[in-house]
Amino acid sequence: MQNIALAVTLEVSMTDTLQQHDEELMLRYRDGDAAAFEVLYCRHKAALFRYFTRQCSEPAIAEELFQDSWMSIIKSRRTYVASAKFSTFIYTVAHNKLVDYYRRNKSHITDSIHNDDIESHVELVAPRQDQPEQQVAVEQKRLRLVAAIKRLPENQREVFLLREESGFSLDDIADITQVNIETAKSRLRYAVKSLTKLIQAGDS
Amino acid sequence: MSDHDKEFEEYLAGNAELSTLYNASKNTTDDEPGIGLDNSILAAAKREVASKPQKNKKNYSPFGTNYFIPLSTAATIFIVVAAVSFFPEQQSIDYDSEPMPESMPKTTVTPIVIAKRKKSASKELTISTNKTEVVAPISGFVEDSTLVSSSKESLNTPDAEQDNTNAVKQPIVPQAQFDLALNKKQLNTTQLESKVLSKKNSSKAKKKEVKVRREKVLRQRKSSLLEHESSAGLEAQRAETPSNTSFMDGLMISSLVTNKPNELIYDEQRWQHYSSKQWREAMVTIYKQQGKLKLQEIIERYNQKFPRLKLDIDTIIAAAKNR
Repeated sequence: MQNIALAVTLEVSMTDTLQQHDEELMLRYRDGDAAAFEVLYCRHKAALFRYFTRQCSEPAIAEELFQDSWMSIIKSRRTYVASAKFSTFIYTVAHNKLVDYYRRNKSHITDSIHNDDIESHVELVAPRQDQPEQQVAVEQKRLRLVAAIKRLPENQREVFLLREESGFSLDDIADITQVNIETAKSRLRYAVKSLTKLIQAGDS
Repeated sequence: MSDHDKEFEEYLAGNAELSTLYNASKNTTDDEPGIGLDNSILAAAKREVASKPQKNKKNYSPFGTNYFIPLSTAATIFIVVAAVSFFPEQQSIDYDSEPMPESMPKTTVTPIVIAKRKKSASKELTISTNKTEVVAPISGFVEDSTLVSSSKESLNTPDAEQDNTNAVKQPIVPQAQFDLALNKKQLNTTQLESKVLSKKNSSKAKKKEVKVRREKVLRQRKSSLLEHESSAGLEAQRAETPSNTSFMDGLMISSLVTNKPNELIYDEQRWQHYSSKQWREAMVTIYKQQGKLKLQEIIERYNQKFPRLKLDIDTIIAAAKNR
């Protein structure tokens, strides 16, 4: 029991250290250390890229937004102040890029479905009952989840991705998406409900 | 608590199947940027570090942003105040706002009689009546007779006469102030007009001034000669001259011909050495100053004495007019 507590404590401290390290890396990059940025980039590129690819219908658009976000971070290095977590900073930039994109190309956005339509969508992507192997079933579930995420409303999809990709708390999500915490919680609740229903429907 | 709420609480606690399933989807290689995209972003990051920092204008400005706005505001206020201070006041004829003399009460009570006469006449205008004397203090323009008359007219009102009998000391009538101020304004206007006219006629005035100055010099010479006449040295010279008039003319001619105004020597022997041109110049001056008759008299006299000169009155008058 004591070992478990110690392990948890170490994990928390490791997480803190890593977070602190992100800010330190960015400060080093601000002071002219390009290698620090490379470490930072490798650490966050996959999650940020998924954040965009899960929300955009076309990979090219996701790549464009991804690149724009990193370029904004690069250009703002001189004015960077470690007043908040670096991950919050980078996802705030990404959120703004995404919102700008939505505003510019409202008609090209992935056809989001509302809660009322989720049932029909689940029916469309639901696997056949005659898939016997469990591994195949899990893979199908994963694919259905990814597809269902893309069909979620924008607000719900974003808070779900922020939660899953970087483990942000509701406070952080509220900060990044610039809404109050109750709104963020409500959006996340609807997203989880919709996706859970989808998975259960696929199993049945 | 409903089933959905329970599921949501489990999800927030990290125990939901949804999170496990999503984490499994993270491991696919399709969800990572390409190598080209990585290289372009990293290259941009290195270029940004390698590039020289752009000069921030705020850092190089003598005043920071915090100082610029208050400084510009203060400068604007200073300029406005300076402009208002040095701008001449607009002069409008507002007699009601004409400042009252210091010795005068600033109440606007009607007529005015001051029973006792004050001796400070240099700063007071005194108006005598049968029984009493009205004293109206004036500053700056007391000596002008028009002011006195106008003040008299304005003060000789029935109310004033009635008050004269009672000999009550009261402040001056506001109407009188009005008249005094009006006269002051008129005086200033008259002076200004005269200045303008004098400027316009400056050339004529200069000529007149030169003429008056010459006449004054001649008068001074004559008076000084008369003083010298009584002296012993001039007695002999006077004896030699045909008359007192010719003696004076001789001195005048001598000073003119030699162009030495202070030379008062009557020596006709020296005149013989003067050129005809010098003589003509002297005659022209005499004609301008004393007229044709005097010139004619002098020419007749000295043509007889010095025939070589051949002084012609018409030639001299023509020369004088040409100038």
